[in-house]
Amino acid sequence: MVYQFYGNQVTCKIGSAITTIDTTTDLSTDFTAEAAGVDFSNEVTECTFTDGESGVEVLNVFGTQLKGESRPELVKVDFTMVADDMAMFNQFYGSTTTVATTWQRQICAEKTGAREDKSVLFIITDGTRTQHILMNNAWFVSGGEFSLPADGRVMWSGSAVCLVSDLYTEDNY
Amino acid sequence: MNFKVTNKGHRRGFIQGKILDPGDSVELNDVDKDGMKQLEKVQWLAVEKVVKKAKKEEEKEKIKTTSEVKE
Repeated sequence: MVYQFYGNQVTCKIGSAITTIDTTTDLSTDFTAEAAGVDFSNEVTECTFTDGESGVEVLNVFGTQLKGESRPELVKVDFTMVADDMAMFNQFYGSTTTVATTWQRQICAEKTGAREDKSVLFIITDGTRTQHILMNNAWFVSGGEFSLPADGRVMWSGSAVCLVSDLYTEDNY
Repeated sequence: MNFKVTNKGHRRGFIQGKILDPGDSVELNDVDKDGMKQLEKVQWLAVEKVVKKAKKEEEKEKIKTTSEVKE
């Protein structure tokens, strides 16, 4: 039996990093308990998740051939979503400053070393069978790319990365 | 310390095991320093220290009692 999942069965949540991943509960429960985050499912139109590629090269020696393995690349997720507000932009640049009571202003800094660790959780479920993909200690690598088409809606795209050792996946079937 | 946190955003939020829909409030008790730092970072939360409020009320009550005694 092959199970198929569809876009409307996906939930995407982004929050603060989880200090220690709990080994006694599922990733979604752990995220809700540990991470301060929000649900972006109603805004995301597409997510492309790329596992950390680990290349293999051949090394020719006189008698035979040997396989040489390189260490994994970063795990990456690319988001495309409706440009609802600056929330995703804030994931990259950090906190905002309130101006004139009602305005939230993002003041971007050029310094390095100030990126916040985040956790990105995907839940794919048909109600019975569920898969969880968690990127912990993830860093956003872009403050976002806004697309402002004259004949369409305003969209936002951005991406986040984490180490392969901070990637957790699980299913219940 | 105790805090009352309110979801001032327009998305469903998660904080320390509590699920908050927009406009919902919840009281977080015994928040330590690390927890405080985490709360301060959360963009979509309005954070209010409950302890301060209680102290102010206590002070008001003290003042009332003192003035009553004087009378």
